[in-house]
Amino acid sequence: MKSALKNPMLVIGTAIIALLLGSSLYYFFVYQDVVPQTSMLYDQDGNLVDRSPFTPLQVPPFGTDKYGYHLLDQIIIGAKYTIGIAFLVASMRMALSFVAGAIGGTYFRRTLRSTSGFVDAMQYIPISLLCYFILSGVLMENGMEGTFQFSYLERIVFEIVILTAVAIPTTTTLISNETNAIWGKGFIEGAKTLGGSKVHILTKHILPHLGPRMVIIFLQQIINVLILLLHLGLLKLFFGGTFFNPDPILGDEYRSVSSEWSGLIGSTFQFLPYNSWIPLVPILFFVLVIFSVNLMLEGFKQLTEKQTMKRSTVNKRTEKNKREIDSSAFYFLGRSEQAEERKTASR
Amino acid sequence: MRNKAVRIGFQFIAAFFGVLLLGSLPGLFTGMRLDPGGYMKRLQSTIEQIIHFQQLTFRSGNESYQLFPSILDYLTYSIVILFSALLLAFFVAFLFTYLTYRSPKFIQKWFKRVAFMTESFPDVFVLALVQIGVIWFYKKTDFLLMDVAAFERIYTMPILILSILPALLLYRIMLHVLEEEVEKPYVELARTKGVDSTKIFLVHVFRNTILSIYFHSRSIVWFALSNLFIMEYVFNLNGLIRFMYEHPTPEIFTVSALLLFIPIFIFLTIYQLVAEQAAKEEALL
Repeated sequence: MKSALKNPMLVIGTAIIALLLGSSLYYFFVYQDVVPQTSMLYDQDGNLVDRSPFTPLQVPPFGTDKYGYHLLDQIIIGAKYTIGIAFLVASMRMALSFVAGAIGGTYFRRTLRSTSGFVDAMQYIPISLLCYFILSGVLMENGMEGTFQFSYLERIVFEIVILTAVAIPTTTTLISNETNAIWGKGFIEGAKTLGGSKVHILTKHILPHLGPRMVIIFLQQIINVLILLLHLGLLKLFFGGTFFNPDPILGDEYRSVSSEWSGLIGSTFQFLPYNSWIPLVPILFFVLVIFSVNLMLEGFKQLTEKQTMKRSTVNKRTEKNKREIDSSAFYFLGRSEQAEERKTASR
Repeated sequence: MRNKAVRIGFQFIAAFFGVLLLGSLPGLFTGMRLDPGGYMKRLQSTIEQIIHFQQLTFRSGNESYQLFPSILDYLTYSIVILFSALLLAFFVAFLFTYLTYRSPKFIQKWFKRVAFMTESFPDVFVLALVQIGVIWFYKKTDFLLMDVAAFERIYTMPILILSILPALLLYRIMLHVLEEEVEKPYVELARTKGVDSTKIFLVHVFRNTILSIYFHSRSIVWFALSNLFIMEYVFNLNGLIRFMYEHPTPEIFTVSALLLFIPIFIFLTIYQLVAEQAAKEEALL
């Protein structure tokens, strides 16, 4: 635990995520998620200067959208949904495939190997397109009638279930392969010889070794879900549902039911050429979150590597001693100049 | 050799049926209810339609057209972009790995940091930057790098854009594998014998690592496929995946998925065979 606090990557990554989540929750409880609106800007004499949307320079720090709603506040409100969903879906994926993978990798090694061909098929279909086809019927508002077929809660549950389910086959094979690899190791043979039952070996030897790998896969899954959400958002399929307002004159309008980030991006992506900051700000926040999860991932990898390499500390000490002897213990009589030169050269 | 052919054949058939089963997956849900009967029905009708694939049609506006052979144009376009981008990514990543290998320690550190930073960029971010960049460039020089609205098929820019992220991922993988390999005693032995370090890298280290690079990089193809889809969607490219998106009928989805699957499978198999061949020769030496 102490060494975890000393790893800067892990700490920074966690801190950014915690900050975003914390401010989002604070905003929810203190301000009830009300977004401030600036639709007109006046100068000191009260003359109208400009109308929304405003650039980040006019309304710091991130500007406003078409209707004058401040982007920063929208981002903060959306953070808890986006990060929350990513965590929820990733942990559900992990929980299900961990159970299936650990059991499958222990008891059904043969059957899994023969089914892996089918799972391989997942690699040849863009997963965001598959999700789009499954989800579009439920999440998209019927443009003509202006109603959803299902309630808000139903839509959310359905989307979470689908987003979880699409990754289950691949993660399960991944985890069962990892389990299988540990079963093949030498010390398992030893445990078997000493009379450990399969369940005993699984709980006492396999699972502890599986732990660190699980954390790494979990963090990778979070990034995976975030990118999937981003893609679906771009395809105008927003989390919790899409308000669809067909308008042949001004162009169809799509709006997100929740103010989740992918919705902010998808509904404003067409503004990219002229009001670049409106979609770019939420995209940058996506980058920030993915980056901090990547930081956590890298930090955690370093941490586990360090733990396995702890034995080398003795080695390091002798190296230190050597250096001390090198520098000050002796010097060459009458050749001090040369020795000086060498020292500087070696530096 | 014959064993290998049988194994690859089995892999192909299993994945083929897997794609077939996945393709009908949207039929499993009517609204929100699970509907296994509907799934089976859809699967059956899709298979029937695929057997008579010459009669398949797609609608565009109010007209309906023959799916074959016009779908093959879309397929070739997508596949050419995908494979060229992947090959380009491989060579760029390889080149940069070599440069990193030759450069001093502190530059190596910076290379790694930059690669780590950029790895977090999702494809949508890259596409947004490119779009802004193209417009900015047009405003400055009056030269349009990429005509997004054009109907004819463009190649250079999509290939370049699509290769960015796979190149970064491959670079990270290669660096990781390389770092472990360089520590091995045979590299040290070769160095003490006075073998040129470029030769060590190109001949020995590369051959020994290509197989594990292959295993790590399999998923990159899938990743690039997702990227290709988003790129076709954002830039209005006339590729197969956007075609699937615009014609959301079950038979077109399954047929297109199968058409995509076959060349990618062949590509991966060739990659695997080449990697195995290279690794084996090294083992014999």
